[in-house]
Amino acid sequence: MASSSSSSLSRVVVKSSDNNLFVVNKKVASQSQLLKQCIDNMEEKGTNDVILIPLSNVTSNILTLVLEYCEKHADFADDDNNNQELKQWDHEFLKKFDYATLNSLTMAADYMVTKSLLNLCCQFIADSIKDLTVQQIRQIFDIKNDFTPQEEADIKNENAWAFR
Amino acid sequence: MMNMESADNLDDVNATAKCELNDSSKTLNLHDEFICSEILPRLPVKSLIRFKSVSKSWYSCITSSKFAKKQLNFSSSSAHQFILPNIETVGIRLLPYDEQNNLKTPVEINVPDDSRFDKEPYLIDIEVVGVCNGLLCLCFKKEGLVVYKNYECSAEGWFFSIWNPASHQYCEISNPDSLIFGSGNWFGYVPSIDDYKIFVSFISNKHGNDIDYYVYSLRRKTWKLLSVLDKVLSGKELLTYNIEVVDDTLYWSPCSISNDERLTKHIVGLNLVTEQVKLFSWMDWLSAYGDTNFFVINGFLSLYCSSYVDDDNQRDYKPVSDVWTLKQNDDWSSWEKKFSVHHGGMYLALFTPTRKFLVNREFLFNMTQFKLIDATKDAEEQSQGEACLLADRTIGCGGGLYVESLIWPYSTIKSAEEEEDSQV
Repeated sequence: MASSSSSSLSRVVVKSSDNNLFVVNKKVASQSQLLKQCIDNMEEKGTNDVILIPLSNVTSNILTLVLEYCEKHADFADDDNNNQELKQWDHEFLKKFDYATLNSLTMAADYMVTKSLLNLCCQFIADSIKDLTVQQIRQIFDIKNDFTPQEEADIKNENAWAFR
Repeated sequence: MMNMESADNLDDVNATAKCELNDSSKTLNLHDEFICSEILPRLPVKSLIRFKSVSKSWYSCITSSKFAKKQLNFSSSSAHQFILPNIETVGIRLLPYDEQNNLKTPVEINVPDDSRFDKEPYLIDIEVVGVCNGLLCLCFKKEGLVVYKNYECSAEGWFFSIWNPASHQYCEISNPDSLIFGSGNWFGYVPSIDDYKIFVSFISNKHGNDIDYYVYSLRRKTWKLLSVLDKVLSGKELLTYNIEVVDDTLYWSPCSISNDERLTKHIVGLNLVTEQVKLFSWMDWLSAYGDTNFFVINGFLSLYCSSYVDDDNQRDYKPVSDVWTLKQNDDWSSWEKKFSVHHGGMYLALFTPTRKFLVNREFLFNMTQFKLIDATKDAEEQSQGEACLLADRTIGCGGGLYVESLIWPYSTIKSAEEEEDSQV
């Protein structure tokens, strides 16, 4: 593991919203900009104590998933050639979740500033909704149709080809 | 990673998560703002047009011009198709390719019906003036009316239109008053004024010149005569089809209609915002090449320079072309040879901003072979992608890299579909 700073931490402890503690290796934690920022700040202060980072918005089962993702991506961080393998892993990783988990994972990736995971989740959601009907979209996102029947018919008629 | 206080009961943890999500595993409870900025821009245009009818908030998100630009950014990052005109069908074809530079089977797409198509004389030619941000500028030419020097052409003989194939929006552009035949032209985006422009030269005798230069602004919907060019050009120099824009400035090397070889070759720079014109001398090192093409790479003006094999009967290209780049836009002496393109003697058709070059050659009888050369690679590996063979020789003029977008500069103009409906 790379350690460049004189006062360098090798591990951090991350606390989930339901008070479970996770010991995370620094390279893995650095996949999250939020955790990386915390580590950098502590290292600047020159502390050698193990730091505790509380994540009040992330439950432990979701944090487990985020850290599983970070761990995999940390393994590949120095290795561009395995791109294809990593893409395959990413796809398999997301495939197994229901919407609720995907929702929480997306919000956690946003909160923890794990950009690549956020992109992955958003692209996955986009890919899985692109062929759906308007009605299905309203169900999945729990959206109330606030158009009048006439307004809705007008929009549809203008773009009838997109509904075929 | 190690879970220090592993949860006593995993079900409890799941219960917490579910509680947060309104006890539903079938809904995504993401904020409207998040959906609009992170999810929707990744969708294809067809889905987006359908999803305008989901709710008022989705409608206003998808129809905003800010959103169109964001969607364009996502779409551009995965751009993998060229658009080419098909002269035989007076249509358009898409030529997709994959990440390994293999060209795929081309797909024909239908040009929307234009009210002028049905009037005699009939269309004989289609030219892709430019492809930019998902918009195509097309030039149609009609039978018998497009004669170059004899002036046997009228303003009805050809016309321009703007088309967004993804969103099915189409708009006809009327020609500047009674002008005849245009040749050599450019279409593109000028970021600093957020406008799309068409730049054309017309053969004319209206203003005491043989050639007039016009710029069309899609934002203003008007043509403007560019008399500033009269002072620097002799009024006898047509535009070429090879014009590129860098930092609001168009660069091209004009060709003379007077066939006077003594005219010195030069390069013109026209700033589309300030309308200032600069003339640049033809560079000495260019004498080593027989043919040059402007293009832009990473925002730098570049020249694709080819040499011919000396042969009395045939003029074939040497198998390698060089790419020169202007390192500093304000310093004309900063041209530098950057890399070589190993195309095996094929002709340059189109290029991407990522150093990929679409080349072609006639193949056997009535066939055209296309290849995508990846100049980011070593010489031997540049042309490893699979070629694509088209069963015709109807390679038209122009084309470009195509991305799907919602961009439509005439926000106040009705879409082609609406116009069709209102005519019924």
